[in-house]
Amino acid sequence: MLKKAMKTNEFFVLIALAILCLIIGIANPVFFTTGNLVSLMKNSIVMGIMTFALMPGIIAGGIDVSFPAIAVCGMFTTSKIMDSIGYGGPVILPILMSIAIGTVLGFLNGIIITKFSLPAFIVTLGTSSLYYGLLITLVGSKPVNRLCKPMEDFGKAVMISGKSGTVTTTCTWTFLFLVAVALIVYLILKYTMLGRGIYAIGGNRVSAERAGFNVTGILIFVYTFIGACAGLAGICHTMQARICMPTDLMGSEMLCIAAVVLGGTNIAGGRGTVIGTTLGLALITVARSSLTLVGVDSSWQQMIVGIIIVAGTALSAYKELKSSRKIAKILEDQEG
Amino acid sequence: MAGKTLIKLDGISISFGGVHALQDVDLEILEGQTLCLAGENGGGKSTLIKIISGFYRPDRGTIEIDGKQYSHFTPKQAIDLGIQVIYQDFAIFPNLTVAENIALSAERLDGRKTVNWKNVKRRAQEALDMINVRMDLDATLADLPVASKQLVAICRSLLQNARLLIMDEPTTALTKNEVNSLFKVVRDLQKKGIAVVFVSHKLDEVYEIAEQLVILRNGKKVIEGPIREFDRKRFIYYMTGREIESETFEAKNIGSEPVLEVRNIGIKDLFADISFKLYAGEVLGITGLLGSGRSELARSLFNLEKIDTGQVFLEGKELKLKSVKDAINAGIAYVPEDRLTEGLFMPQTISRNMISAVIERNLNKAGLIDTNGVRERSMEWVKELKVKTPSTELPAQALSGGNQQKVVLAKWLSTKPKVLILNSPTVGIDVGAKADIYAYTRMLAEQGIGVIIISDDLPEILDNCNRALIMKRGRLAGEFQTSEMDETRLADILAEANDKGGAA
Amino acid sequence: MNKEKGFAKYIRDITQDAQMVRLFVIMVAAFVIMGIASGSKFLSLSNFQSMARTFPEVGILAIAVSLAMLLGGINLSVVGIANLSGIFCCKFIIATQEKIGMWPAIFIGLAIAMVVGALCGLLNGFLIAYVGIPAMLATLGSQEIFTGLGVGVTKGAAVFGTPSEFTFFGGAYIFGVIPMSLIVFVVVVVIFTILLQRKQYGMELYLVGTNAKAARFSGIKNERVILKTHVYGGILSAIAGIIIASGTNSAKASYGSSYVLRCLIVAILGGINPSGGFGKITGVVMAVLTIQFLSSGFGILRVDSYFQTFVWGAVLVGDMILNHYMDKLAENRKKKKAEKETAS
Repeated sequence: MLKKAMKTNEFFVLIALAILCLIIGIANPVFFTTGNLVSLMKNSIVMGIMTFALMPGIIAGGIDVSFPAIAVCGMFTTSKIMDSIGYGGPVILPILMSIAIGTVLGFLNGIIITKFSLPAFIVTLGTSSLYYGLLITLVGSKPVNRLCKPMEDFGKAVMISGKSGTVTTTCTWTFLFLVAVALIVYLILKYTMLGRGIYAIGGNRVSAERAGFNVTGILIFVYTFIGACAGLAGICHTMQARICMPTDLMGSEMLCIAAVVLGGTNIAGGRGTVIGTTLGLALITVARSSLTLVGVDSSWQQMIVGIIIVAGTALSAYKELKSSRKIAKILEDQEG
Repeated sequence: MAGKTLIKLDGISISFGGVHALQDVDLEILEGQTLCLAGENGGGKSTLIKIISGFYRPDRGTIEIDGKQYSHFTPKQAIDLGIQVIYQDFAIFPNLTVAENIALSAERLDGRKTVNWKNVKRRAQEALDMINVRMDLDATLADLPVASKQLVAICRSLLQNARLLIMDEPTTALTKNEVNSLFKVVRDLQKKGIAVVFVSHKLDEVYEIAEQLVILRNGKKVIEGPIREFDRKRFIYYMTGREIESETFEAKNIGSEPVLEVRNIGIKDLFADISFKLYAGEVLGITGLLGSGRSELARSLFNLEKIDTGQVFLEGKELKLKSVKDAINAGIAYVPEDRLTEGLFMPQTISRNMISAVIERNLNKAGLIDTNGVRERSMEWVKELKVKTPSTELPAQALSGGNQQKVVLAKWLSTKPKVLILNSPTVGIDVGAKADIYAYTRMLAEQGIGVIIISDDLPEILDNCNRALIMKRGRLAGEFQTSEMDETRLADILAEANDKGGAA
Repeated sequence: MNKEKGFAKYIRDITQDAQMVRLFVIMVAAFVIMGIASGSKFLSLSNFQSMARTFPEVGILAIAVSLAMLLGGINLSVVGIANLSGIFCCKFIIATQEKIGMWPAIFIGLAIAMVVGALCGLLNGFLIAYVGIPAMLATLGSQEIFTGLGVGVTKGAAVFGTPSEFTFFGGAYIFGVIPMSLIVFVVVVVIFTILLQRKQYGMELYLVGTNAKAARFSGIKNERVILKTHVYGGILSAIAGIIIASGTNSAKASYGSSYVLRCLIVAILGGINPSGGFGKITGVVMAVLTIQFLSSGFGILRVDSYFQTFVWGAVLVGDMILNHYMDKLAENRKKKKAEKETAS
């Protein structure tokens, strides 16, 4: 059992994560304080929600890069409206509203991609620009500096806190959304026909059609789900930051894609697990948040993260390349 | 044994790009009947299957099931009506486990929205038990051999309440034992009232399992009747449309020196200790079942796979090949098995295809591609090989299968080869084109080119080669002069070879 | 014979030339519409000059992207390479101009930019061809590295201080009328048209992009074609980088982030098939002109820049949908035609 586990992709990511943590921890012991861990938790929320949502898409063989734009559409529209009406009711309403906006935009992506059988990547690159341009044109580009009270309160509420030295770090309740999304993705992928259909499409799309899977429907769901989660991630980001800037989150797509791929999801589709993605997410979050801890100058951080991403993808791609060249054995070792 | 009508096709016609793939085909299948659909490649068998399973929409004609008439139906409807197809590529999911591949479709068909893993495994096991096969339910399909994948595909169909099971050449990759257990399953199904359409061109199997025979040729149904009414001669006559008193190939000008000599070559895990000589003017056959290493051997001669041991000599000189280009320049040409994915650039023009292996030989003094020269030379090939096309600037995909094969041939002949290796040269092409290609190979041999034909189509080997090698399990298992061999004996030798391996 | 010629020509028309004709019509339409909408300002010499000065940047980058797309891949790192090359070029000129003289510094600086571009392209090509990372992922990642390196070297600030002579390559007007950048663009277009249409490399590029497996079987060294293509892409990006740096007489790691989308729009509008194997430089040229007419018109009409962002996204998606319908139409027509042929 252990031997089998050691062969999995997840195991390698776990080892890489452990080594990374150890190195950072030795370089700067602050890394292992509760304060830092809580801060890592907090930093993983928004990116994590989007990462988990993205994973089924990549398993089905399509890459969506419009989710940051969708997240901004959700959070900015919602914040503006809630601010302008001076909303004071339960916080769930703005959250749902942002999710709803994301759902609609994600659904639109799905329709365009499936109806015209176009490459998801290029379509979403286009819709990303389309949604964002439309949003700023219609809503304006002025940040919402004061959120409505329910959102502000939710962003202030402390779920867990930790200390590093004298500094106290807190994490908001939005963390539960991350856990919920991960759980939902896990359940869908593992225990529903829909989820198995996602794997089936990624494995062999033609076979999936022949087997009677509703390929179009499944793909539309996948992109809609990404949209919905992006809406959620956006509003979580706003509440955590307690300010809504329409320029935030844009450009974060590479990090999320990288987290999925580093977690062992096959970029060509068909394979990937929630546990792997969790580890990939942890790896990226730790690498990003800890560069300052080990004394890397902030101006070099983008490059170092880039190198980590490329090196990680290269490793998994190279493994894939080698295994695809593995050939079925014909010759028997002994005669007879 | 057969009961009442299950499905009735009436006047089905369909054409693709102006080519009639099927013309006015009628077909009736009874409950519990085992019907064999025979015909040469390109005869329309696959098209008919795709219509019955809802993937193609016929241009004309109706399909009647349970007394209801359809002009066409969707794949999903077909499944709901109990029509199941096992394709040659098995339509499996390489990334999923055995259990899922077998049971998932059935679970889905039952309207389940969630996956109960215990159920999936139980049902998969039941299906495997039905055909008495043992398999690790948790194994990923990509890691399994071809035969297991096929068995998985069969098990899957069994679970989906099939009333009509269509098997498209299901025995290609199976050992004799596996074929026997498959036939046992088919007979069991028959008793349960399930109809089986068995697509095959292997005569022995057809005689063993089928009750009714339908033969398609060039898109038309040429004859239909109970199998007992067909002796072999009549069967072959209707399949090919001619009396096969075929003039077998006789090598007239065999050179005294071998043009190609292979000494003890081997690749780890694939094949070992292969030695043979090919003389100029010979057509040498290499036959063996799928997975015997015949294709791998051919590919290694072309340097698509690197040999680990042994030596290869061309006209007495040892070859040290580093790349495919080296092989081409040395004078070896390889016409691959799968034209669509390996041989042609379908959407590109015929002339581009024809020079694709020797672009560097088509440059003018300035180092630019000599466009006019390319067009002229392509036109010459078109004329010489009788490619039916108005222009060399059409995309290759606009041609029929046989003409595409000729373009591939032209592509390789324009490399001026000394050795021409043809891997399954006539799979998927019509009878006329087949004859042209055979005639052309003979002519090449007469001109002093050494030709190697790799094939598991036994008549092809027997009629067109003067000598042949048999491969099994990665080793040479025999050599014979085709004039001293007949089809039944060769089939027996191959089956035997396979069973020894399969039992292990 | 006559009939055959007609038929062949017909097929040629619907596969290739029709697309070029369509593009030409779109380009002219964009010009006319903007000419009418924004009037004399659009049709003035100074606007033409300013357009001719601006579009080569995107045009050259779009050719780099198109090369990668002809392989069935993509290149999302062109802007990163351009900026990085520009930064190295400017840094070098500033550091050495007093020691080795201004013009030598400038010319060595240009050479350095090209080398940097080639090296970046080499990295991309290596990751794609030999490591096996899908082009999209490889170049999305390398874009982070290139931009990150630029940020690191410059601490995120713009590099100023190059001599005014440096502006010759992006800002000067030959004979006082023709912008230097346009001349560079024309040279690039001519070279790459010949390279793609008449050189062995070009044919290999199209063949690998159409069917990599068949290419390998034809003796084409796929890895080398991929590597070469990305090195060319890197050099082209560097040339664009030089034009950008020269035009603004400065270099910055974050310049032109919207160019990636713009390049993709140009390539796709120009008829480069995203799944590889088809497309011509001529199409890309017409597409970049079309986009320039629109963007220049928007500028004169004072269209909000965010609204432009929306329009570009809509153009990309809309064009792909249009292509989808055009392909379908062509297929149907071909089918009908073929049916008629066999019937007669």
